[in-house]
Amino acid sequence: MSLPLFLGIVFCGIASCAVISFIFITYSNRHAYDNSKKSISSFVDSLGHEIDQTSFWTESVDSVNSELYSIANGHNGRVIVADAGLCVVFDSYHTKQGKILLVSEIISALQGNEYFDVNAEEGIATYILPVSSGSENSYSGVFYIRYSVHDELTRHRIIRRYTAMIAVSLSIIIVAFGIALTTIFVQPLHRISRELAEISDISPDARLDVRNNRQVSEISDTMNKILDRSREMEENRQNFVSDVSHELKTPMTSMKILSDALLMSGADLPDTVREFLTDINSEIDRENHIISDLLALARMDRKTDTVKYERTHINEVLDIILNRIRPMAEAKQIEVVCEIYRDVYADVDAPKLMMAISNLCVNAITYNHEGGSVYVTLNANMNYFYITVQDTGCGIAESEISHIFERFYRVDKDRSRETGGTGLGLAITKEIVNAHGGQIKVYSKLNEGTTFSVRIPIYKPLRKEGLA
Amino acid sequence: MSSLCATTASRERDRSVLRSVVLLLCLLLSALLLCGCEEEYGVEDNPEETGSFYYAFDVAAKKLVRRSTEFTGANASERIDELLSMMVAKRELSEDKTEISATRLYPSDIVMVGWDISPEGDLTVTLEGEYSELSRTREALLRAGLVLTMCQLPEVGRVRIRIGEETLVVNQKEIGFMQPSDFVRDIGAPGDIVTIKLCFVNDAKKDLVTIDRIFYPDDYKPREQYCLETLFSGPLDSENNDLKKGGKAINAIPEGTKIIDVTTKGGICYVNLSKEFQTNDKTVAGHLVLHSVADTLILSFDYIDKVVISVEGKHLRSYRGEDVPSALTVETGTE
Repeated sequence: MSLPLFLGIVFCGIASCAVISFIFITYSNRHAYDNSKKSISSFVDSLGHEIDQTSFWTESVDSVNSELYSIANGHNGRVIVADAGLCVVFDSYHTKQGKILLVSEIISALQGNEYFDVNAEEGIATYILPVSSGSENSYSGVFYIRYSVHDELTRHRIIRRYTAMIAVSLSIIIVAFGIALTTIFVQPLHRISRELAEISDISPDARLDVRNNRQVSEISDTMNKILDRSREMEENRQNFVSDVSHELKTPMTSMKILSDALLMSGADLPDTVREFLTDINSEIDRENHIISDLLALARMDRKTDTVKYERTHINEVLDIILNRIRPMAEAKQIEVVCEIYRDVYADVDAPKLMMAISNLCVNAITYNHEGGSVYVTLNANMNYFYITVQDTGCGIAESEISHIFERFYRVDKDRSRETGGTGLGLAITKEIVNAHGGQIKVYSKLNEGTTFSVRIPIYKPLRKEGLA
Repeated sequence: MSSLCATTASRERDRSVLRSVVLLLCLLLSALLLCGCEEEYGVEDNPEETGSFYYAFDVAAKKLVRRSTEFTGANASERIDELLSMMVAKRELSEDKTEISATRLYPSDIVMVGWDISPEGDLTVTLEGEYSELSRTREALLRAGLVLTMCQLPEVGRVRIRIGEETLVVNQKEIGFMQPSDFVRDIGAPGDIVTIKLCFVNDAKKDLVTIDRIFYPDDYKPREQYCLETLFSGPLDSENNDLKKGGKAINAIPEGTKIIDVTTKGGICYVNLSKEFQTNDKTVAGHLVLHSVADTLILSFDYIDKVVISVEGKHLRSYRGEDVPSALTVETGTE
């Protein structure tokens, strides 16, 4: 499950719930008392008109008193009415009649300002508002009411409780949704990514088969089409290389026969002609060598030339190789030393292994100084056998080491040309080692020498299950 | 070079525009603040502050302001004169016109002619001038300032204002002697001491016995409600100590009875009780229980002439087998 995506969804969801809940509760709080305030306010408006018709400010008027008692009882509270001189003319509690109210909110109300406050603990609201007289912005008195708002507070508490419950429920749903979303959509994507990585390592027939939902299935199908197309392109490339190599080999063979025939004919050829013919012959040899290497690589790429595992005595393979290269080494007075630590039998394709190790040994002699040495070792443990080829040659610069296994790559092109190298030897060696499930490493220091280490499994690898 | 000059000129223009916008915003804000700061009448003091004081009226702030002072007068008369002088200009000094009325309670066009005090502590202050020009709110505040200031002296119990030879009339009513309790700073503050008459059924269960009790209502509940709650809690042991057997007070109100609401209108007190009131107790006659409630209210509050009792909002027509009149008056013999 993608944690950042999940956390993002959950955070956004819960934050939204919290904001909406806050806005709702604030709005509810602000307007909780609107109804009671509105009814009181409209009562006071009509009271003002009624008082104007009477002498309420100077003497008690039963009809007005009756209405004031009604509103006090209706709101379960206390009503006080004071005149413009702050003198109480009506008190439903009968205690402040005739007294002067030196209360800031009362004095302020005479200037036209309303006052509203709620004591949530006691469940009591205080509302003070001016009583209008006949003229605009003129107030003849003040209306004070202190009343119970238990019902509103209870309602508000219920709203808060239910809002909290809804917010919590929504948050749980959002968390569940986040889990479901990341599981349904992200997990398949992770699986696709893993399987794509595996595809590049194994069978060419491997296909992607992740089908959790329609979108992921579409992605799988599209990826499979891309894989098919890329396989097709690779096959075409390999076929092209193979075909071209074949086509080139035929005229090369003819040219070789003709040049050999001319050189061995015994005819009296001018020196220049003989010299040129000799060069042509050696170029044809070199070209044949390149074409052969290309063909070998093309076969390995296509994997049609699969590794034919046979139980092989590796010690004997090394003997054959060293015997072959000894004349070459003697020609340069290079000492070849072979150290065998144990008898090794392994499942390998002997011809191919021979080619791979031969390339290393030939390079060790080719790129060595006269009078240098080549040191070859063979060792093994329960799972792998190890061959190292070490020389005292010119070495390879650190910047070049990562490229030496690339096709046609030459560290010193001029020198390679003189020695007849194709630039494909190490690429072929690496392909053969990889095909055996092995590994090749190189350590080198300029002007000191190079060591190649090859590790190959003793037993042939078990066939991996295809992805299809 | 010319492009550089153009850039500099452009920056200068931008800065000048920005300055203008900021100035305009500041002016707007100030205007808004000032609009919101229009002064209103009010009182600025701390009633719990101790020490001698007098009240002045801040004309600019339109507020009654309490100021500390130290008396220098040696006797009551000197102190009265001293305090009055701080609040009202004397007639003889008013011609000087050097006094700034903003430091006094009354404006300069109202002067004090004289004052006198009775042995009982009733102070009469005689003023002269444009008293009728004062707004009603301001007049009430000035009157409060004068009474509260003068009544701090132990020799002064009440204060009366006369305008010339006439008693002060406000809103067609004559304003007589006033005392500090006539001015309320907190509507919910504890009110006056109230003595109520609790009418309990006697232990012989044949009559009512009246006991006086003092209480201090805090003014957030109707006094009638306080009174009934006191009645329902029953007599105190100490109240029965002086009463003989047969005449001792008992609580005959059915247990668990609650007061749903009680209001008084037009001399009639409407009492709404909970259903527990109708619990049948044959040992006490229904009319005694009803009159225990009614007589307590009528005798305690002079504005209540009759009592109407309801149970759960329904008017009580009969109680414990007896008919109940529509409105109860005092039971004959109850005092």
